[in-house]
Amino acid sequence: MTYVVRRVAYLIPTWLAITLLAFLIAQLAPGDPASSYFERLNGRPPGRIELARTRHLLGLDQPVAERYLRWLGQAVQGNLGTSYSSGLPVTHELLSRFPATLELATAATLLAVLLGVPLGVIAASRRSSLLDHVTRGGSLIVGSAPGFWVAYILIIVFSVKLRLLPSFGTGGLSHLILPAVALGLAEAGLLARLGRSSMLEVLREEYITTARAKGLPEWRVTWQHGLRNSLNAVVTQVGLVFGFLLAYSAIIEVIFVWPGIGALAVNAINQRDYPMIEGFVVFTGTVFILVNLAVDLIYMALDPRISLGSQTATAAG
Amino acid sequence: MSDPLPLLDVSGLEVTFPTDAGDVHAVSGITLAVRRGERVGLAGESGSGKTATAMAISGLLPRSVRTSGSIRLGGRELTGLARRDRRKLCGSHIGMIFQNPQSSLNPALTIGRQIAEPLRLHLGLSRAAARARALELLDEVGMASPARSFEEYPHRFSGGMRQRAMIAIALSCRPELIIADEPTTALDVTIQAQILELLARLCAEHGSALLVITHDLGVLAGLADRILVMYSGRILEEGPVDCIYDRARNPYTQALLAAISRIDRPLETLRPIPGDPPSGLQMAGGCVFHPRCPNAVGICRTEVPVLLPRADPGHRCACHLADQLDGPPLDAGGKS
Amino acid sequence: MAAKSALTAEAERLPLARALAGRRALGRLLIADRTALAGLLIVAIVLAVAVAAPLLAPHDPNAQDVLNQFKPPSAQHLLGTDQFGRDELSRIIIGARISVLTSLAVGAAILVIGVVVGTVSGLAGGLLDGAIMRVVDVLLAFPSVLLALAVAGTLGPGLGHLAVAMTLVWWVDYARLVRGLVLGVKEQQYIESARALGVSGRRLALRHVLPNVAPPIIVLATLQTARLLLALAALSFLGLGVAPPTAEWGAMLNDGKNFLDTAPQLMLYPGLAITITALGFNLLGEGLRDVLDPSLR
Repeated sequence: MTYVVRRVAYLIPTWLAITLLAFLIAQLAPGDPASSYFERLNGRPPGRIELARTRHLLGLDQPVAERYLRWLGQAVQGNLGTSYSSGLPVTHELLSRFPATLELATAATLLAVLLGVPLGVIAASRRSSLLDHVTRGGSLIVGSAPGFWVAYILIIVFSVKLRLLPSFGTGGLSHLILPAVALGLAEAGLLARLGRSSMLEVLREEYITTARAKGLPEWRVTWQHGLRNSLNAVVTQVGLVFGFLLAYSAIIEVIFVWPGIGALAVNAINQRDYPMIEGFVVFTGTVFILVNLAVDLIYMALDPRISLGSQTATAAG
Repeated sequence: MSDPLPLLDVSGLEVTFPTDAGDVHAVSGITLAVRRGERVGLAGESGSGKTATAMAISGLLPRSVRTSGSIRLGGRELTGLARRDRRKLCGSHIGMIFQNPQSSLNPALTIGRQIAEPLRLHLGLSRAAARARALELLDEVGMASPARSFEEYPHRFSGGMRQRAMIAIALSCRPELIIADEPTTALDVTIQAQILELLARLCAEHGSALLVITHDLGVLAGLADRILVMYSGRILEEGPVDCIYDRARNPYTQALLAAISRIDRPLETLRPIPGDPPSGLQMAGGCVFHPRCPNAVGICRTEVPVLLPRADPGHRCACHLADQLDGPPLDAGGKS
Repeated sequence: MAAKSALTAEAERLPLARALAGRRALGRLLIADRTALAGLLIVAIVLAVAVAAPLLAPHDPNAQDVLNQFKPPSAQHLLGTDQFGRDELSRIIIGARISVLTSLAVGAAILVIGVVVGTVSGLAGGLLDGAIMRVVDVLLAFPSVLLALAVAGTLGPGLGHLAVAMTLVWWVDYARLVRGLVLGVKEQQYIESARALGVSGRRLALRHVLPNVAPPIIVLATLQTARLLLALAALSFLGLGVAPPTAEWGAMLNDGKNFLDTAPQLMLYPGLAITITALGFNLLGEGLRDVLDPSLR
């Protein structure tokens, strides 16, 4: 229990650091935010008095630390400011579009797991065979191709040339397929490599030899004894995979005009919508931290060695 | 002896590992036999090829390793068998016990599950029947509260308890042969004797033959009927246990004996063997031991000595100078 | 740590490290490993093209010829022309220069920063180490591409801003790796002996710690270059970095996406170029990793 408490407690400074990061990024903005804010609202640059008034309105005449703390106070309550482009609350925008991203990410991950993990395991169990090399080569190539480019290739083939699937927007399974595949393929490559290297390590452990010495056929050794332990290792990497997903999905969303938070962020950047950029960093960072925490807890549950207050030898001899 | 035909009959076994630095000849042609119910000890330092021999017999060597020679179990030739068929013999006819109880058990499965597994696989027992049998086995090997141990994971147990579990697993299907590779090396000294005694007793009760592989001649003293001494891939001497301990003829065996402590000798007389064991990459010509042998002469460098019978029945020694050294064995003081 | 079976230990009596005494042996092994060799070849070719780009390009990459747009491959234009009639091959070649050299420049910068920070953190220990690692953790808690996107987007357009943004984000991988390595080396005996002989901090770092820490860093450097290349492509695809009409692979893909039905080949060439280059670095990195730590093969 203490481990869990400590783990959660560790999150707080990390989250605070993320908010600081988001805040600092927004401060990097060139030009005067008050001036651009005014210009946006009124269509012309502000006069000196108007500028001063706008700066006061936006709280920009206060020292940085105070501004940060005030913003932070708001953020903790869930208020991440108002978007410059839409005028709507940032939190509201993010939350309303998050389900779409979640849908895409889940579909892609499902695909990736179903494709990548078995391939990785198979490749590991038959060392240096044709399948091993093909899998390795395949995931290397897929990992070297820019994800967004693969997306376009898919669009060209399936949308433009074959006219089989739509290439943008939402609206049912057919719209989900291409973006999920584009996202999932890259992820599958990553998972296959993770799975393979984790499996390779596991297959060299001594209990694998014991399993063979019991007379178990090789497939059972791999799938029943090996997989269980290598999954542990892969699960810890899910944090890495998730981060990868977050990054890639933004680009995929832009390409396929998928109404998720990634597309929102990219638009915000193009339109210099700083509250949205800040809010996006905080939001995504928070989700990321929570996912990592969940992964840690799942891992704890999976690995019998790391249970509540690891007890070891019960009796001697 | 009840059955003249040996249960395990290995002859001319060679095992070669291909490595990045060249071929490693782990085993260079050995012959060994184990009769039903017999307890045989295979003694040698690390690098002598004893583990490779064990793995070759059970067919657990990786595909890349080359073997040649004949391995017969119960009259049946094993070397030509397909891997799948060979694998089926493991657990059912040959049981193995490994050195590191810390890492030989799957940490993600309960002890009970790991014991029940071969029972269900080879004997086709149902879940309930396998569980019942597993509980019996846990009791036989001396695990406290078998029912609770059944549900526990390996990390909850000490080394000694885990090794008992390993023994339970190895014996579960009543195999004809048990091969134990350094079964007590990783255990506390106080536990070692208990485990060895358990192993010997259970093998006798189940009628299994036992092949114990170790570098520690002390372990074999109370355990084995017959001992083979292995060095750098070859058998240098073999014979009944008391023969080896009292009348060893091979300088390596004698050196091994001189290097362990004995109750009937003062402690300061322990003498380590100078030099390092060879890496198996570059084989010395002639007798494998000659670079470290205090008695080596010209012929030792050029000709490989053959195992020749000595005075006692069953005692054989491979040494060019065995006859010259026919007097009392090299004693603690180093005089012949 | 995986417990090696007695069998494996018995077989590998001559560790590769001993056989690798001397760089000649390393070179020989590298040549023998086909993946590494393939990677090395690709990287060498790409680097040569990138460096000699202005000399190699048959045409001016920015020369427009609107009458000849979307032409298929011909003797004059080996890869055809784009939407403004510009020679595609020349644009790819010049694009190599910008994409590859920028990636290498950023790569070098993050290498230096990361190694310095990692070494300092590892050798110093205590509060400084803790503080630095906390920063590293936070930066790693966030997907790098998104962070770079946010930073570059805020800084404004231009390749310089983009490079700065990427540098600020990607140094953390090195820092963490190097710190881990330094911590491992710190515990070795020869460091104790050097310290006992009075070897000072900086000398200690340079002469004793770094040489033993180099191989994993080299592997990471090659793999990181591939990652940087892909990130750069993605970020310039999103409009950051160079401004039109400059030829850069990511930007070319951004242009090409508008002509998927009329001229899909415009998406093909820059994408292939990126893929092949990244593949080269990845192969080289994987090959190096195999050579330096064959147990992972």
